[in-house]
Amino acid sequence: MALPHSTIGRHPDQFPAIPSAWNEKYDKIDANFNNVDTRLSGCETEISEAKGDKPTLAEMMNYLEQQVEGISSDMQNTVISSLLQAIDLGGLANRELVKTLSMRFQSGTITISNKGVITGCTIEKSTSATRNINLKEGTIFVGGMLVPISEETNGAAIPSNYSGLDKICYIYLGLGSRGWEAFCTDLGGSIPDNGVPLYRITVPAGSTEAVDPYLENIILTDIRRIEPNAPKTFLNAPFVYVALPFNVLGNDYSVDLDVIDFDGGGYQLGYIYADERASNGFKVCANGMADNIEIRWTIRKLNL
Amino acid sequence: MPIIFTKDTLRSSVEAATGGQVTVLYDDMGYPSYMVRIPKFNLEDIDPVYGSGVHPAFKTGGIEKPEIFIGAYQSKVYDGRACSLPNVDPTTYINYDNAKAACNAKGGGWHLMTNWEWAAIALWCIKNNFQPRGNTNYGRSHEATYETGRRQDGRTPGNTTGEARILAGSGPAAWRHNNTFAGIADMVGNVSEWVGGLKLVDGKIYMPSDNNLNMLEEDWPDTNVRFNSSASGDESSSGDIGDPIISDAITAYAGPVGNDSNNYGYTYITNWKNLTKKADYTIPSLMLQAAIAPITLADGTYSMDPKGALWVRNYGSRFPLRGGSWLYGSNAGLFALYMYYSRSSSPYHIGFRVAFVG
Repeated sequence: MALPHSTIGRHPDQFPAIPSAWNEKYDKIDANFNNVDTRLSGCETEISEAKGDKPTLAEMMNYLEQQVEGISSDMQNTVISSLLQAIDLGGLANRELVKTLSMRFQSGTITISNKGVITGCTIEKSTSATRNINLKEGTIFVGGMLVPISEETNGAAIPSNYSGLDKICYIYLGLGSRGWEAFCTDLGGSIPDNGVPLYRITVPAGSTEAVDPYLENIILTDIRRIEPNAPKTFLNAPFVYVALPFNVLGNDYSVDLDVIDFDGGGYQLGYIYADERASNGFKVCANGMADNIEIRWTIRKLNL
Repeated sequence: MPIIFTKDTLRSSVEAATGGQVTVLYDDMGYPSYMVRIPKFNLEDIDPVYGSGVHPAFKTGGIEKPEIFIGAYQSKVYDGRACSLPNVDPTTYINYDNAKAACNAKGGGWHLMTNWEWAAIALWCIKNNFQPRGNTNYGRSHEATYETGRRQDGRTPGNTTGEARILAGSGPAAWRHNNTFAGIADMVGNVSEWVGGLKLVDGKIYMPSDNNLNMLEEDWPDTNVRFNSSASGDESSSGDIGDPIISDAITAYAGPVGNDSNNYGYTYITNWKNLTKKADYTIPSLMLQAAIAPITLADGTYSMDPKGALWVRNYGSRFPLRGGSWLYGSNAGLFALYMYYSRSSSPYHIGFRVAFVG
């Protein structure tokens, strides 16, 4: 860094001396001094700041040297290794968490339907009304109640099948405007949740009002759930099979069953229990008269 | 596959305690009702004068039923549903249509106890030489004042103030239809009970020929049996103007024809068994089977006198009450028949009973 006035030059030898000539020299000298002083002060400040909290630059240098050694490649390898180990541990924890949420604990809801026929409720093909069926009287159980069913002549109509393939529909009992009565689903339709299944109807291709008005070609298959001694005893307890979303190792898991809702009186709920536990699922059974039992199930197997 | 015994601790305990005579049935709300099973019986087993075959109470539209279920207790209405429950204050101040609706709302098979059903039980009782007593004198029996129930108003039995209904079934076994605690309680006394399946329209008796619950009221057939009056009402009296007479024709009305009000006279006899008939009239057996007319009018005899009075207004539409209430005294009884009120009447002493046929 240069001084402001690198060359001041000699004072001219003249007499008498001319002050302005002297002063010009002195001003340059002063400017140089000021410049030097400024730079020296700056240097001192920089050195002082460089020392930081250390008394000398040497000590600061020692300190810095130690720091530089701390980020050496060995140290960096050590740090990366530690990080990878931590990430592995985190991943393991996360996998265990996922496993806990999805496998050790599994949960869902089901609804057990408990409705059927105590007596009667058979059907016949009508011989006087086009594609109608006749329903015989009987008694059903539904919604925890016993319900008498009246005879119905020329009731539900079986749809015509205009297609080239055999089709299926169902006769069931449902609550209509006149009370419980027989209904038929559309071809390919299913029985509503609150319907009591009676018969599956196979409607051959081309079975229509025109060619088969009295249903001679259709096939009735009895699908009634008959429980002649309801509400005292059931031949078959109603159940729902629960397929587990994730297989469990073994069948020694716990099952918690929480009844959310049901139709019927409180005493009619009986008890709900898990049966036939397997690694991929289990049955939930009911032994009361209640119907439409909505149950939240939760399985636990903590030692997976 | 083993049989599954359905678990219903209430029903099981009730059936076990009563030998299965009383069970618990549930309605659409899941509300329980204690129901007495009445198995079917033959008319000739009661008395050949009634005819033969199964009593009409056990047939619905000609289809025989093995049993009917009668509420063990006078009904209490919860959420619009008539329930048969012990130790509750039965619902009163209810008219015929509301009583019927509270029964029908429970679901298929539930109904207001019919006159056919009442008659069957009454005939069965008298054949068994037993007629229940009941709350016929302000919380106690007028015949046996030591027999008491728990009054809903907490007053002492016999105290003639207040509404002396008793809590359903709180009386002794003698107040049940079969003299046991497995019987139907309070058929006699406490509150008069609307019964269905019978009406009197300007003296004409309309009723189905059996316990046909599905038949609409407008379709009930005219039986061609009439309640005549021994005197014509002058429309200035609201009291007893004479005796009812069972007949095939009406020659006198106790009040203005077509008038449903309770402002005019009525006919009344203190003992239903003393009902008279028109000379040379042959009483149809349905009237005997329905306990509308006594078998003495068909040359039959009772092993014991049937109890209860008969009131008839042979004008307007009248709907039947049975049994009598706590203030009826000797007018109450198993055979008491009160064809006095219109369907919209809802006085303080009228209640009803729910029944079920499966």
